[in-house]
Formats: sequence, structure tokens, C-alpha cells
Amino acid sequence: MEDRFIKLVRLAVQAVSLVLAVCALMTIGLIYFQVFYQPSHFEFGETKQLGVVTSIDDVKDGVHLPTGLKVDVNFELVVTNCTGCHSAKLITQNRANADGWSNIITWMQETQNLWDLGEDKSLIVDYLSKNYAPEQQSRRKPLANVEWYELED
Amino acid sequence: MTSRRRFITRSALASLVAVIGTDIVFGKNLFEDYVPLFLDQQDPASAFGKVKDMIVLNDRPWNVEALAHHLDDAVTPASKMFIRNNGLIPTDVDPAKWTLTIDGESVAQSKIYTLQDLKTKFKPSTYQLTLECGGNGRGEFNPPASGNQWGVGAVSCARWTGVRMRDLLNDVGLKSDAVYIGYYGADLHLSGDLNKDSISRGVPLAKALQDETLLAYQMNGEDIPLIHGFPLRLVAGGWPASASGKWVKRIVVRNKIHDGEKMGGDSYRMPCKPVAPGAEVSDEDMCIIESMPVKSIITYPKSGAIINGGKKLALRGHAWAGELEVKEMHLSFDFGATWKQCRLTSPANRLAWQQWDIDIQLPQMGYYELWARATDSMGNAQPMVVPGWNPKGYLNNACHRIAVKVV
Ligand code: HEC
Repeated sequence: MEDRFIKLVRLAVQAVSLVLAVCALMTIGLIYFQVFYQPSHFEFGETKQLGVVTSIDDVKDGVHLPTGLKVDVNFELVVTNCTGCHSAKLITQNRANADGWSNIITWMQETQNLWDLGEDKSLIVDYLSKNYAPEQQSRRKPLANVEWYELED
Repeated sequence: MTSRRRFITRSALASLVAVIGTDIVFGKNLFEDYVPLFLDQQDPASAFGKVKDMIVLNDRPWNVEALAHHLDDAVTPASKMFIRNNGLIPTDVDPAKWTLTIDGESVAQSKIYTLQDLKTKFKPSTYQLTLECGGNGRGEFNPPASGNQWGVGAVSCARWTGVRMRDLLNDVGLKSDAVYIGYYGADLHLSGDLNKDSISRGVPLAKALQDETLLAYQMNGEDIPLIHGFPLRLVAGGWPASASGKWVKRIVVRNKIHDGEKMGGDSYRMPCKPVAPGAEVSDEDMCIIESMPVKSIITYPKSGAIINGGKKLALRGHAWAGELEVKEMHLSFDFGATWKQCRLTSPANRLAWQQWDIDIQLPQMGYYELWARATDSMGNAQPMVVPGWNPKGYLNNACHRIAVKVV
């Protein structure tokens, strides 16, 4: 009777350690994957999906701080497909209408190894042309953001 | 790479925290130390020794520009030189093992040179050469043109030392059908695809044969900084700086216009005939940019100066004109209604920028814009508004302006 009990306990301990070991291995694997994972080393030709992990702490005034992109519908598609090769600064400094954004993406697909985006392309263009649309401007804007200072000689 | 790394790092941390149920002291540092390359640093000051307030247009790939007042030196130091990268900076550059191959369909005999060969077997030449990004000023085009939105600071004029391209071309010998050269560098494409070049441009043979066209191994008397092309860079002054390939491993001599990456399409090409803003231009109507146009900047004072009424204001800066020389320099404080002539130096050598200066007296208290306008030896002056729109927003040589207040 006591023997059986000890056996049972041993079994339970073994089972628990096994589960813990598997958990630990998986955690290490997960961390390894996330730290050393380089999107640029993917196979070409296949659609690439990166997990977009983000938290509310990363968002301020509607802007996703790690990328600088505005958080809006389809934001995740843009992070996933558009920040692997270059930073999102290349997006946020540009302005274009839907045709313009579509042309930029087509250019990258034809010449820069950007993959086929399937139906996501039009969703991405929607996001970009809404959030990064051209502003009305004159042929030469007045000088802006002047930081005034006393000139000493 | 930085933002993505941080991004991922943080989620990795989060899962660690979830597992062990507590925060890791210095966890952030721990993981940031894992970032393997120094190139992953966020700011160009610590990564490349740039002055603090240069403008980072992009950090992957690195594209960084100077503010006008940074460029006050007659010879641009590395710390104030703009960065235009199309791809990833090579990380494993070993100068002892670096070779330059010259081949292509129009060389008589292809050859391979070590850096040592280039430094010892050929006569070195030194020139001060103006390198301006073809897209400098892109940010002012309307409708907007895509790419890095450069202001005025994607220009430099450093002293470059190296072998004349001409001497190398003589050494390999040219076939009679040679018309163009192209370069290939060691920078990896952003996608990581080893079979793809980030950029591979070139110049017509006539430009390659000029005295001043160098394969440079020094900048301002020292090894070229890695970010600017160490250990070997093609320097073709007065042309879009993209013609001056960095990290050069190979030069090809072509019997046709070089057809490398970014030689075609809208890249570094202008509509052959002027087009309306926003027009679509077909490939065959685009022409490769050669010499850059006449341009100038005000490097002192920095925009935003407040001065006391009655005081004279001394201004200075540089002017350049691609293949040409600047003949005259003018300044206006009344939006171009009247112009005052500035003093102007001769260039240190052909293709070097020139220095101008002037003392002015502003007529009364108030807000002024000071505009600078250079005129080249052919009589072309800088326009006061943004010049001809083009699909990629090149060649904006509109007058540089600064704001000044008299109190
Ligand atoms: C496979 C790699 C890759 C991916 C993924 C990628 N791009 Fe690019 N993109 C490039 C390269 C290469 C350039 C040229 C960079 C340079 O010249 O500095 C570029 C340039 C750009 C430019 C500037 C265009 C110009 O005219 O110079 C914009 C805007 C841009 N990308 C937006 C995007 C968007 C939006 C996405 C997502 C749909 C995206 N990129 C995904 C490779 C990529």
C-alpha cells in the first residue's frame, strides 16, 4: 500500500518535471526565435508573416512608438509586410494618394524583392493613402519650424 | 534593424516575464547587449561619429543629412557628411583581403588589384570634390515625390585621395567599343538576397577619364570611414553622388550604357522633356542625370538668428555647379525683388564648391528671409521657386532661404 503510494508520487513528480522541462525548452526556443530571428533571411517567394506583438504601452497619441506608424485599420498588415527590409521611417516620411502608394508597392515588387501581397495589397494601400496622404501645399511653403536665437558676434 | 530588434526583444522579454512571473532586473540591458552589430545603434552620433543634430531620415538603411549650418567648413569633415545608403553596410571588410576586379565586355584584359597594388603601383591624386545626392531638396516637390525627403543638407565637399580611374582603365586597356563604366559594391540588398545588388550605377567613359574621377582610398587624409565607402570608393564629383559607388569591389567597362540596379526606370533619371507636375512619364522618355545643376547654401548664420537693428550681418556659404564653375553669387532680403552681389572665391580645383560671403544691413526691424542665388559659368541661375517637377523629385536647386529677425 505504502509502496504503491510512493510509486504514484514518483510518477507524479516525473510527470510534472517532464511537463516543466518541455515548458522550459519551449520557452528557450521561443526566446531564441524572437531574439535571433531575422526576417531578411527568409526564403524568397513565399509569403512572410511576422507575428505582430504589440502592447498598449507602445502606443502614444495614436502612434505606434516602435515603428512610428499611425495605429489605424490594417496597421498590423503594414507592420508585418513593410518593416522587414527597411524601417517604417521610409513610409512615414512619404506622402502619396492611393495610386501613388500602389505604384511604390508595385515598384518594390518588380525590382526590390517585395513579395506578392495578394488581397492585402489594397488594404495596405487603403491604410497608407488614408494616413499618409499628400497635404495641400504651395509651390514653396513659408519657412517653418524656425528656432529663434540671439545671434552673438 | 534597430526598431525591429527592439520590438522583438521586448516581446521576448515579455514572455520571459510571463514564465518566471517577475520582472528581470536590467533585463532590458541584457537583451540589448545581444544585438550583435554596432550598426544597430539608433543614433548616427555614436554609430558614425556624426554631429548630434543631423537629421535621420531613415535608420534602416541609414540616410542622414546635415543642417545647412553644419556645412560651414570649406572642406567637409566626416562628422558632418550626409549618409545615403541604398542597402546594408558591409560588416566584414578586411582591407588586407580586399580586391578590385576590372572586367566587362570592353576591357582588353580583365585584372584584379589588391588595395596595396592601388596604393603603390599608381600615382595618387587628391581633389576636393562636391558630392550631392541627386534627391537633395526632394522634400519640396509637389505632388510629393517618393523616397527619402531630403532638405538641403545632402551635399558635401571633402578631399578625396586615390588612383585616377583613367590610369586603371589604361592599365587594363579598353576595346574600341567601350562607352560606359559601372561599379559593383559590397553592400547587401535590404532584402538580404545575395544575388541582388542594392545599387550598381556608373558614368560614361568621358566622365571616367577625367583627371578628377578617382577610385579613392582616403578621405580628408585618412582611411575613408566605413559608412562612406571604406576601403574603396568611386568618386565622380559634380554628378549625383549615386554615381560615386561605395565599397567598390568591381568596375565593369561596358559597350553600352551600364544597366545595373538603379540605372533605369525613374531612378536617377529625369523626364527628357519637361512634364506637368504629377505626370506619368514612360521609361523611354526618361534620361539619366549627368552633371548636377548650379546651387548654393547659406552656412552662416544658422536660420532663426535674432539680431539688433543697426548692426551689420555677415553671411557666408558655398556655391557649386556640377561640371561647371560658379561665376556669380547674389543675396536678397526682399524675396528676390533686389539682389546684392557677394564675394566669391575660385574653387580649390575643378568640381570643388566655392565660398561666398557678404555683409548686409537690413533696412528696418522685422522678419526677413535671406535668399542665396548662384549663377554658373553658362549663365544659369538658381530658380526662386522649386524647379521642374519630376517623378522621383531630383535636382531641386531652388534658392536656399534662412529666416532672420531684426529687433
Ligand atoms: C523585400 C524588401 C522590401 C519590403 C518587404 C518592403 N520594401 Fe519598401 N523598399 C525596399 C527597397 C530596397 C527600397 C529602396 C530603399 C532605398 O533606396 O533607400 C524601398 C523603398 C521604399 C519606399 C521609398 C520609395 C522610393 O521611391 O524610393 C517606400 C515609400 C517604401 N519602400 C514603402 C514600403 C511599403 C509600404 C512596404 C510594404 C508594402 C514596403 N516598403 C516593403 C524594399 C522593401
